[in-house]
Amino acid sequence: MNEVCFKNIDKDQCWSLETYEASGGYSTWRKILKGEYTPDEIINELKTSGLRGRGGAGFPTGLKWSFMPRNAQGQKYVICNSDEGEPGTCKDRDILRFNPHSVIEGMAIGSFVMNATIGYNYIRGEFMEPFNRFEGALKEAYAAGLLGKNINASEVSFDLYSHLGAGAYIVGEETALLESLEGKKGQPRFKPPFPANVGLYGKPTTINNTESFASVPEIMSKGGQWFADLGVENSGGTKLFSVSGHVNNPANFEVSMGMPFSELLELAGGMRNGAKLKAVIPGGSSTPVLTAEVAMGMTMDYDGIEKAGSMLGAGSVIIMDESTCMVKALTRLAHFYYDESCGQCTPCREGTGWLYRVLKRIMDGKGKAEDIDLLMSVQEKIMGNTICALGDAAAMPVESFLRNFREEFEYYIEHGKSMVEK
Amino acid sequence: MASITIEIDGNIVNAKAGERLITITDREGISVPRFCYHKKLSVSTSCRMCLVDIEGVTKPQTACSTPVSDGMKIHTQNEKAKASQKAVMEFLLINHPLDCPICDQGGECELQDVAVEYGSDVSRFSEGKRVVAPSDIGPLIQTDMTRCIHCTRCVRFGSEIAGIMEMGGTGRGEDLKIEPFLAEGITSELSGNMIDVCPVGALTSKPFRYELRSWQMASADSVARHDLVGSNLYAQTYKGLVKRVVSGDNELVNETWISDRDRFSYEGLAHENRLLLPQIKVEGQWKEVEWNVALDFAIKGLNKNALNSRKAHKLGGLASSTATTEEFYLMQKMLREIGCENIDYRLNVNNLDDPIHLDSNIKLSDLECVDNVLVIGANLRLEQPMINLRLRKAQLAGASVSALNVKAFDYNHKTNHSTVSPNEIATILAGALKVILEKNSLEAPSYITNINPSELSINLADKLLDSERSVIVLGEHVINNTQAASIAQMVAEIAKQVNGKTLNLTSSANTLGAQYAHFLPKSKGMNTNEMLAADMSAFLLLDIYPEYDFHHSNSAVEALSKDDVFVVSLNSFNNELVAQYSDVLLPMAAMYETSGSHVNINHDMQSFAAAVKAPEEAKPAWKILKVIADLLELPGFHYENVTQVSEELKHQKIYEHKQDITIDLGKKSSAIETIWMHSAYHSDALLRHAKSLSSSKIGQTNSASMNTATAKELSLECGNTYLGVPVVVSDTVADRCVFVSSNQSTDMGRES
Amino acid sequence: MINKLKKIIKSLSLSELRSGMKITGKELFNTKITVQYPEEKTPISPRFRGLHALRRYPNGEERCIACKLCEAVCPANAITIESEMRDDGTRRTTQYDIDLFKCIFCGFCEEACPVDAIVETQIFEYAFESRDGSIMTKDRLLKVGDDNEESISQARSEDAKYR
Repeated sequence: MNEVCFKNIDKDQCWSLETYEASGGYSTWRKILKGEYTPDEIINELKTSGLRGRGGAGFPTGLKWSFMPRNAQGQKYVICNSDEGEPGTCKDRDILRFNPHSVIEGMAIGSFVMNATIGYNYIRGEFMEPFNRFEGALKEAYAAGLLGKNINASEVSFDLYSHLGAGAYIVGEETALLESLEGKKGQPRFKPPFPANVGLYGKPTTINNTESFASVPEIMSKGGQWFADLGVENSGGTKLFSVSGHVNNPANFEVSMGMPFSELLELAGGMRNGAKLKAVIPGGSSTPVLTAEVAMGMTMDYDGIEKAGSMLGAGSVIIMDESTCMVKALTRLAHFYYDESCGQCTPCREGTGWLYRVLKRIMDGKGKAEDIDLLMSVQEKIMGNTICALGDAAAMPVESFLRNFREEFEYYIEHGKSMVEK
Repeated sequence: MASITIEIDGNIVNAKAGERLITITDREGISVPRFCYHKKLSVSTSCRMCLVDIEGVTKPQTACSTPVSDGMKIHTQNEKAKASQKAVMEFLLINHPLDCPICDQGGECELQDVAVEYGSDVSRFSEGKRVVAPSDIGPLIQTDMTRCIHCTRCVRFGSEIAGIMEMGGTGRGEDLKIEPFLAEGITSELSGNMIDVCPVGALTSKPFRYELRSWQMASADSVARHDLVGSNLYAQTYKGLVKRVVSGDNELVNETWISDRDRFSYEGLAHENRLLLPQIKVEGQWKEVEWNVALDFAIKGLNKNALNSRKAHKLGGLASSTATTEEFYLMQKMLREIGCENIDYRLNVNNLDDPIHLDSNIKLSDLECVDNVLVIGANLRLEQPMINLRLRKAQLAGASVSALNVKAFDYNHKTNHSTVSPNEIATILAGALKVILEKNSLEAPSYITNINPSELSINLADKLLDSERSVIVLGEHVINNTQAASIAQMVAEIAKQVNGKTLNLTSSANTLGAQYAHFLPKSKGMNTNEMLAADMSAFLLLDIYPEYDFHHSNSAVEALSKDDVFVVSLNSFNNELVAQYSDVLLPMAAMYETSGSHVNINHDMQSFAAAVKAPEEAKPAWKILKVIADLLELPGFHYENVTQVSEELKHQKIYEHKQDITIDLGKKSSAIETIWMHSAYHSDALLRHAKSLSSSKIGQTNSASMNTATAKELSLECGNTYLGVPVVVSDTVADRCVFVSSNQSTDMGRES
Repeated sequence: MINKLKKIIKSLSLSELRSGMKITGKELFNTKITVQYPEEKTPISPRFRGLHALRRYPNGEERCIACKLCEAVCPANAITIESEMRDDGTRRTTQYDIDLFKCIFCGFCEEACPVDAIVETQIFEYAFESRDGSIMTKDRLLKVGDDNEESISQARSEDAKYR
């Protein structure tokens, strides 16, 4: 498909300003600089496009931008969340590597809509190559007079900085990202107040995902309706899916929303070694796992995946074949959340460790029959009681793995070994 | 804020829009469990214990952070709320050690209390519990971080109230550890409040460790007398001894905080140097005797040396500023009754001929509302921690703070420091006054006509003129300035011109009480320095330790030690020098052991009752003074209790010996200026005997700071001593000045 | 008249004497139930609440941690404890007195004890030879514990399954 974020991916030096401008890049931004757009027009176009937040929550971007108090006094900020840490997700990395200018233009457009003159792109600490690419693109853009103060003698100013994180999953949560950006320990803030009112340094702030920003220029140049028509109802446009796991060709794919899962699997080269599909995590490790039967009947859009009992999330599709031990898989996931919990609030700090230790004990062959009920009960007690969504993210896999593959856990506890691994 | 109605557990409750839910439930007496929420600290929502169910919201919400809106329906007790609260409780308990029996917090632990209602009787957690290695964070606070529930109250207290973020959370997830960032531990002058805010036994009082359980102690309301604030506190006692002090609530005085010196000074009460039995000196030998013998001896001596020979004018009465108002009152009443006017409490002032006169006309609670502060000669943080706390709030709210000090002291809020020699202060103020008078189109008095305002003066004047609610704080460093009186006069004048307030911190403890009790020489009477210089025949001294208390300590001891001077000393501690010059030692009750009152800077007379009886034969000083008066057959001393004394002096007006000051800006000394201050935990007798405070970092302070040039001039370097105090070379000190902060006695050549 | 006659016959036939002797004769051959105290003793319940003792751990360390719960729960105010931080940093008693004149042997102290330090033994034969004998000091309590550890632990293990 490669219509939006990846549209130049096959070209040589696709990340350069030259390539980007050759395919119509910065046309919207230049129009803005000439004063040919009003913020409301842009918001309306985005609303028509049906673009929803690509970071995981799926909140309509046009609506989000319209909430910003653009006429409020004082500094306002626009922030791009490139702290892509969700296990299974690698789409933002490739956008930064292959199409950094779309992010810059998207953020610039956003800054104009929000009346913010400063932007930050918070890039995951491990993303050295994407960071350098983005920095290079920034230099190009500044050199071309596309960023700065009173750009091209217009009244529009926009300064953009990139910031490299320090390697904490939790900083992908928007308020933790703000804390980190302010130089503090990356711990989520309680909401309300929301960043739109009290954000970075206490000022109104809009935070969007890299993919969301990267989609904006194309929507503006080709029209919201064009973008909406690429997808299905309620899920406009194309989406990057990071397909990983037991497939022949794991990669990022930009496809239209609403594509049947089976086609996506086909695109990724089908199952590795022709093995049978066992389970699919459709939106990144925090989303509930689905069984093969359910997954094969699902379409890849917000509603389709929700109907199947999971979430689109960040679009990271993890494919597991028959040889996968679900106990081991869940233990690994539980360890991830145990390791990445920030420790601020009680249920997550204590609960993630508890979940992991019980699963580890089962893995060590010391499981007890009542452990499954214990795990269920502990995840229930974390769910919904925490400051940020990490608690829910840790709890949801436990619930779905135990619900869908309970017999495997029972087998492991009873026999002290895996049901599938030889 | 608009008035709205909300529904809590089916009851209609009035509230203001945007109010936090927990303040409403607290006000209405609805119990919502909580650990991280503290009414004086910012909201953190990290414990999640106060989760409640709000209709129309899927997830349970924390009561501490949720602003209410009209028509909100809240359930604090329904199944959903209870389930969330119980879930959080279970999580809190899985890694919390069940060592309540050896935990000092046991019996007053918030976690223990809430666990009774929300906890389960059996733990489902069968994995290993978290253990945190013990750490030593100083002599005042005992840590046991295995018990920590990460509520971060101590962290927030440090960064928001104490003003230095010494505690912090390191690590993440289960490894999150609350600990000091630096190895030297917690050094704040308000650190003890962390013990009070800690809901569990992670931070407890070190001196109190393992001694008693909370339920064994009786609690008595009391008032601290170490400074002009008079913090309200509770003295917790057991078998006649004060075992612990915790803070009391009083919004007008100390909110809910107390300084470390108020909290830990009680340790001095049990010091082995306490004077326990009356003693008389017979032929140079001390003899422990019965009270009646000692009193007879004292009366005889006083009669012989002063009264019988009509030499009442040769009798002197001096008292420490830590005495109660009633003690001051009785002592001056007695002395005046026998015709003696030589009465004074100002012991450490070099020049009493031109005393400082400055009203404190601002309330403590108003300090946080000022928009401009000028501090002259004070290391506020250590000298007046409770006042600094209020001023810090004002600064955080936007007030501008300027300081004229001999050294750039470590203030914990944003301050424009100007390091100036004490010599220059008067000129700077005169310059500022001139600018202000010019702006107000008023004629400048003759003494400033020749002044050419410096940039600093203009700056200060502009700030004072620009702000609506200024306060000028005059600190203790000024008392021995050669131009002290002029400085005070100009401060008053400037404040008047800019409609500002003044805060006089040039003396501490209960000096306002002394002024209300008229404990000062009136006409014909001699002040301290005159008494020490005159040919006296007898002294009556109240809790005086000359090597620390007097400015002229050597000559004071000399004057008191003369052969023909009869000295009656009422003391709470024994001491070599006191024994040297005294003829009778009468053991008196110390703080917490006597009833009386303290007058604070709000001019509130705060009464307190004795929390414990004085040890052995020691008696409250007011009783001793009353009996002496009775034995001298003076009329009007038939008091049955201290309240009758308080009643009598209640209507008395503050005594001020106003005299016209001739401001002379030419009076300057050319020598190197030395400002000698006792370190914060050595400012009175009880504090000096409190062991834990003395061993803390602030208590160990003993330094004579000077800049490189001054050190060179004096041919000193680090490692030498100046006036017996170790030299610290620091370029934050003004030129040709030495700032001494010492925990030593002052008899080491301080004479000037 | 008839009654009088009956009475005479009854006393002449010695029937009451015989029924008395019958019981005597029966008991002569029955198993004896009288316990010849102090040579013989009745069995004692493991829950018997006799003289108090303070126990130690097998390594010789005293169990009591000075939590003062027994002092708090004692309805007769018979227990007095003073505590301190021992040199090794642990919480220990410096004084542990039980006034046996005040004690009502209710057993609340051992119920309250979180470490099974204060226990009531099965010892009930004791006497005081002086007035201060009624005060069981820490040393005396520990000695009782040391001397009777075997029976104390046996009683506790017997009772464990009912707790």
